[in-house]
Amino acid sequence: MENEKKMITLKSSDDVTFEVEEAVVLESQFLSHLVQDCPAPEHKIKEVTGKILSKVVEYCEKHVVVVVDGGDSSSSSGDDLKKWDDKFIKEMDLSTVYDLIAAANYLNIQALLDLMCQRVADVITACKDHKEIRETLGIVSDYTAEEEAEVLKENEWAFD
Amino acid sequence: MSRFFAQGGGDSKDEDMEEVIQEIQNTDINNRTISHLPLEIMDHILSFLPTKVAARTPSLSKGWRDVFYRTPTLRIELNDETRDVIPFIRFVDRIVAVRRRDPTLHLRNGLSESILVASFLVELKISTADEHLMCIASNVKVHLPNLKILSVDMVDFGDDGKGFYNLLKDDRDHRPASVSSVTPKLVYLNYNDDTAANYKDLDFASLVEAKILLHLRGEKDKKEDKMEVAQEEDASDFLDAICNVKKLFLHADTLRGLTHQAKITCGNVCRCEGGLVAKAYCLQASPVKVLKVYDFGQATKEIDRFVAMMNHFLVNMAQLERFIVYCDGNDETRHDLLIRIQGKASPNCRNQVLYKKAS
Repeated sequence: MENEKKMITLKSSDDVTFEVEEAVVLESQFLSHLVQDCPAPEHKIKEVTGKILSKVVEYCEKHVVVVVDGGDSSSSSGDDLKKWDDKFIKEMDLSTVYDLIAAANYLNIQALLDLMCQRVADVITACKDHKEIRETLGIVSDYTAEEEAEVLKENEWAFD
Repeated sequence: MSRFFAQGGGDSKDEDMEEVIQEIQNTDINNRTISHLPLEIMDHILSFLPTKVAARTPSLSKGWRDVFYRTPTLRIELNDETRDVIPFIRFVDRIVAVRRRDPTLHLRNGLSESILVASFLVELKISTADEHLMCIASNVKVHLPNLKILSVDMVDFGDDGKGFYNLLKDDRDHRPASVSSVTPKLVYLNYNDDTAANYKDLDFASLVEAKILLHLRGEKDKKEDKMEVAQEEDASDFLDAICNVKKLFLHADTLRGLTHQAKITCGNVCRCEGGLVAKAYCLQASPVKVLKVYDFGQATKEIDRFVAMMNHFLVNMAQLERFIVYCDGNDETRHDLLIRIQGKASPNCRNQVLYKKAS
C-alpha cells in the first residue's frame, strides 16, 4: 500500500478533467484544504478554465518532484527547475499569464504567483518609457494632455 | 486560442443555459488585461520592479494613478548618480501626500519633515551630506511606528546633534521624557556619524542588529577639550542603550570614543563597575552573539588600550559566539592581536582577526 499513490481528479470550469497525485494538489493551499475537508474523488474548480488548469497542473507536477524525491538523481535540481520555469513563462502570451496569475491567486500557489508576477514585471522593466508600457500591456490612457503632463512632472524622477 | 470541449453532455435546458453563461464568462476571462487583476496582485507585480521603473506606472492611466504610491512594499531609493534631487523630493512629496490622504501637504526645504512622520516607512536609509536633501534638526517631529531598518550616514543633525536622538524617539504619544520609547519596531540600526546627544533614556527594546561608527567630533572641530567631555557620555550611553542587540558591529573609532570612559584601569568601560548602572544593563547581561570591530589598524598607536578593552568585552559578554576584528595593519600586528585576545572569551566563541576593512 505504501507505494500506491492517492489520485485526485480536478475538473475545470469547462469540465476538462485532470487526474493528479495527491502530492501535486498539495502545492495549492486552497486545494489542500478542499481535499482535506471534502474527501470526494473529484473536485470541480469553477473559477479556472481547462486551458489554465492544465498549465497549473503542469507547473505543480514539475515542482512537486523536487520536494518528494529530494536528492534522487532523477529529480530536478534547483538550476534545472529554474531553467524549466524560464522556459515555462517564455512560451506564454501575456493574456495567459494574467489568467495564471488569477488562478494561482485563487488556488493559493505562492511560487507560481510569484513566477508569473515576475514575468509581468520583466515585461514592464524592458519598456523604455510609459508609452511603451501602455502599448505592451494594452493599456489605454484616459488622461487629458494636461493631466498627463502633470503626472509626468510629479514623476519626473522616474524618467531621469 | 485553444478551446476545450465539455466531457459531460449538457442534456437539460438549465445546463445549456449554464454553459452559455459559462462561455460568456470564459470569453471575458480570455480577454483579461492587466487592469482586470485585483489590486493586491498589482501591488505584488510592482513589488518585483525596481522603484524607478515602478514609479513610471502612475503615468499609464487614471486607474494606475495611485496604485504605486500605495504599494505596501514601497521602496524609495535615491541613486548617488542623480544629478538633480529636486524631482526626487517632489516624487517623495507625492508619495507622502497620497499615503497620508493629505493633498495639502507642502514641504519647504527637502525631505525632512514629511518623511519623518511617514508612518508607512519600514526602511529608511539616509546617506548624504547634502543639506539640500535632509537636515534633521532638534525641533523636527518624528513618528515612524513601522520603521524596522534605519541607516544613517553622515546626516546633518543640527549643531547640537540632537536630531539623531529625535530620529530614534517615537514622538506620537508625547510620553514623559524619562521613558522615551525608541521607534517601536526598529530591528536594524546602521549609524555612521558624529557622536550626538545624550542617549541615556532611550530603550532599544526591539533592536537585533547594530552597526556603529562614531566619529570623534574633536578631530573635526579642533575643539578637543570641549568635545571630549561630550564624548565621554555619548559613546558609553549609546553602547549601554544598544547592549541588548544580538549582533554588534563596531568601528575602531567608536571604541576610541569609549576609551575616554576608562578610568584607572584601561578598558574599564563597563559602567556597572563604577556603580553607575544596574547590573542588568552591563555587558554580562548582554545577549550579543556576534561582535565585529572594523578598521582596527588605524588605532595601532593605542593598541594596549584597545586590546584591554576588547578583552573586557570578550571576558564579559558571555553569550558571544563570534568575535571578528578587521585589521588593516601588517601581519605582525594581526598575529600579535590574535594572540593577545586568545582564550579570553568563553570556549563557545570563535575569534578571528581578518585582514582588510570590510564595511
